[in-house]
Amino acid sequence: MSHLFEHNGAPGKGYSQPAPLLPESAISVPDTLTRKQAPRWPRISEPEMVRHYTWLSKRNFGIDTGFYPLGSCTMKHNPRVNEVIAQLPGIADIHPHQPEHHLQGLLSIYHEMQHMLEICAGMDQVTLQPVAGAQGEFTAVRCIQEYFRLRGEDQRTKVIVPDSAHGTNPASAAMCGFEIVEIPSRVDGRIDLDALRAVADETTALMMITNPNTLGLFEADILAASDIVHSVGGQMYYDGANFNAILGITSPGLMGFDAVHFNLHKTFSQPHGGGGPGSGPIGVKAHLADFLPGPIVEARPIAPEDATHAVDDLWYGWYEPTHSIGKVQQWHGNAGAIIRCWAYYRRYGNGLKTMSEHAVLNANYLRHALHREAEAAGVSDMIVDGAETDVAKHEFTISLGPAKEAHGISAMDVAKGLLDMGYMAPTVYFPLVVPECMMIEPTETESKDTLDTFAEDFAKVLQVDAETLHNAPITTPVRRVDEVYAARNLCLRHPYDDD
Amino acid sequence: MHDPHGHVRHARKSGVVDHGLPIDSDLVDHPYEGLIEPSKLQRLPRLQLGPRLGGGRELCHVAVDLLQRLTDETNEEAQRDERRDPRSEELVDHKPPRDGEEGARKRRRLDGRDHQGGALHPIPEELHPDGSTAAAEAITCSVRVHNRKAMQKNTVYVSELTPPDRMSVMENYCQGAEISIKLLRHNPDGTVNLSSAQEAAGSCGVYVEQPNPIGVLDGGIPMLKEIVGEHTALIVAVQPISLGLVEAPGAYGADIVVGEGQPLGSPITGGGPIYGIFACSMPYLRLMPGRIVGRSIDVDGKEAFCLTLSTREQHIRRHRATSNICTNETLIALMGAMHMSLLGPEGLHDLAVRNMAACTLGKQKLSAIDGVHLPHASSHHFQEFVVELPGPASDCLTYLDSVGIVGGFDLARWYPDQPNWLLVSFTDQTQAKDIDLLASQIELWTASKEVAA
Repeated sequence: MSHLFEHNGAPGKGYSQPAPLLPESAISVPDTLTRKQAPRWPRISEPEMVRHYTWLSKRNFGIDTGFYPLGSCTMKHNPRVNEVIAQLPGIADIHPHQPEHHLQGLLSIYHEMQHMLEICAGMDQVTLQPVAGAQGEFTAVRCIQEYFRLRGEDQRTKVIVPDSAHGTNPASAAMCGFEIVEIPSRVDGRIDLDALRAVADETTALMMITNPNTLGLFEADILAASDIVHSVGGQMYYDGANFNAILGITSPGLMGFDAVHFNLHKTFSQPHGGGGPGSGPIGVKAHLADFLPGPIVEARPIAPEDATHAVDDLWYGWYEPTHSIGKVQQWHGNAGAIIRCWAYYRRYGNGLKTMSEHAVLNANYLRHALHREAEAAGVSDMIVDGAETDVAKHEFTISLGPAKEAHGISAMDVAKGLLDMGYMAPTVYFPLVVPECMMIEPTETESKDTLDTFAEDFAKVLQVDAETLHNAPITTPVRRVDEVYAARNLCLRHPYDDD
Repeated sequence: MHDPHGHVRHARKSGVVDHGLPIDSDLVDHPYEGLIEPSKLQRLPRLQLGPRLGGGRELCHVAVDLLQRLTDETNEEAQRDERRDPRSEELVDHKPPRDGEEGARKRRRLDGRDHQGGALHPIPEELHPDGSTAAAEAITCSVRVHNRKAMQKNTVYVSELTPPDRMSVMENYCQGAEISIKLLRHNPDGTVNLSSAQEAAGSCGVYVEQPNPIGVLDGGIPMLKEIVGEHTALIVAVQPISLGLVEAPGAYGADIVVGEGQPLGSPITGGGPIYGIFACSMPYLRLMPGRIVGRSIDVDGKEAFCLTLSTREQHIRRHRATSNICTNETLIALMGAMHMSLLGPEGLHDLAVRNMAACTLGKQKLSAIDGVHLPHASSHHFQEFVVELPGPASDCLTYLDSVGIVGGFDLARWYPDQPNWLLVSFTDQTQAKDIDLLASQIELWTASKEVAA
């Protein structure tokens, strides 16, 4: 294994710098602040650095190296033209504090993006400020909290989440100071309206839910759920993680939601980057718009004095909503991510409806193909659908419960077997309501050939004996990692010899 | 709504078709030309001296170029949400070390000890959306750690110079836990008032910046830990390049170090994506927010990496998690790791010297202008300092803009009782001719004010 810190070449090997504008003797720091020991960083040349990181990247698995059906993550292809747009100097080199007349191009992009997302979500106003999905959740919950405070409804201290909710939902609400009330799902994984009725009362601030839900099922009772929450004066919050199933087909607005976040890195093709940068804009209905964090871009017709700087017949400017909750990060959102997603949206426009249709079609095709190939291989008794449904949405679940019972083969074993076949394994053991669960999301950017081959390979893994699967993977750069060892023998940075 | 015109006519050259999603026929035929159009309409000034962000641009292109290659192979989701099962295990099994994590880990190696100089204790480090959220999470972390024993329960002290934007982020993150934010007073020369800092003793945490928001390197901050005591977290926000010259906060008792990672080699991109640094000493480890990568072994005993101490996190602890952080800024931090590895120890020192030399030259040139005064002239500055003008800074900036210069930041936006304060910012990217240009134009503007007077 190559370690960056094993490189200890000559000083200044990686990068030669021009002379400072004044000799070093002309500058000083307070005596109490003089650095006594230089940081023990590696010394590495540019080609060595490039090789090091390229070597690391070759040990990674990403959507550009193989099929990545990781449920709930929407690992779609990222069109390359978006990268070109985001790196243009007019975008990459701008400072957020530059005056508005310098930024008419960027502001016009923000303005269009706000409005496009408003159309998608059926909401009245979008802010692009939050830089991640979970931050979007936090922001929206804060807005709803302030909305109730202004109305004098301080008694609303509870947030309702289904037990199948993403962990960020309760975590975000708790950061705002809310008490979390978790309600059980029905046996089929859908929302239990009776359980909701039992907890919804005048202390309910909001309910957080995603639709399609975490099993990939459309919540047919969503309007009834919205009615229950609204009838006690609460608000409905839509977790946008599963937006890829519904773009242009329905919207959270139509389902009765008051606020929603988007994961631009899922639905709108911003690269996931191994954990960011993402972007988590939120949209709200008009009654919550005054509470959003700014700045938000608004437009007015150009005046004669704007002509020099205007990019079209509108003038774009920042504004702060009247009762804004304030800032959730210091600058203007993840502009680079927003621009990539704007480019994606501009390219596809109304075609995004087709995109969602294909995402759903691919998921349903793969679901049937898995059963078909398992049947053909004589192993169909090892898997069952995770939930009873005629059609899934953009993702679906299967249970390896029968395989576990009959052969001692767990979902984890099959996941590891798939790694050896050259795939990223699907999400496993979530949602918890499905035993030995696998959650599969192929996305719309995969071809029928890819889906067929994956289904065949999946059936091959099911035919492998338990002993072999317990030992999988064997072809990966490292094999099963000992997490307990990592937690008990904490090594969180480079160990120096004299530690 | 605020935006009536936009709602009627929402997208340039777009039409609205059946489902309301815009489609642009020009783009179908000429996608690239259509998409670059707004960027061409942006205006880049000939001189850019905006605050806090900036610098380190030369090496950016190396990292950007490499990332174009690496992004292809690192498009993986870091969300190990909701599952008890270690998705990280699959991830790490399949492609260890994940590049992003390796990058993060490298940063941990780089910063973890050496930025903070923590010979006293190992310091893990991880990533946040930006410096302000890292600062806010540091404050809530300090309350989690110290509240039980604190004499001033649920109370932290924050430098009164903290810009309102950063303060607003802190307030949003603190209000849910009902944390009270009190202000730490400053002396006229811009340094922390150490006798007033005694008020912070017994609170959960103290937040200061080094250099502070007006660029002052505060030689009194190393005394703070002793003043506030063992049971109050000292949180120091740094400009990371300054650490090439300035002592690592870990060496003078800082418990948590945060900062804006952008100067370590990522483009500004309008303020995002950049990343926030968060590092802490061992007593804070199990209550810190965010993801941590640890070294481990696989079943064959081979070195491997995985996320560790995850029981703090939202995908396991749900509403009892230390933070809701899920997706963060891994790829941008990876750029930082590349940048730092090319700089090396001497490179960081040289970069800090260049930054400070430009700042010092700027002080010399601007203070020589008649009618211009530097209110903190006796202090040491890194990157930024305040210029007191004979008239409103906003007027001066309007004039400078008319000659193609973004000449700094109008501090009335932070400190309304100082309308004449201009914050100027010089980095390693600043050339002598830039400083001369700025000085000559400020001189012209100042002279015109005096004539008018």
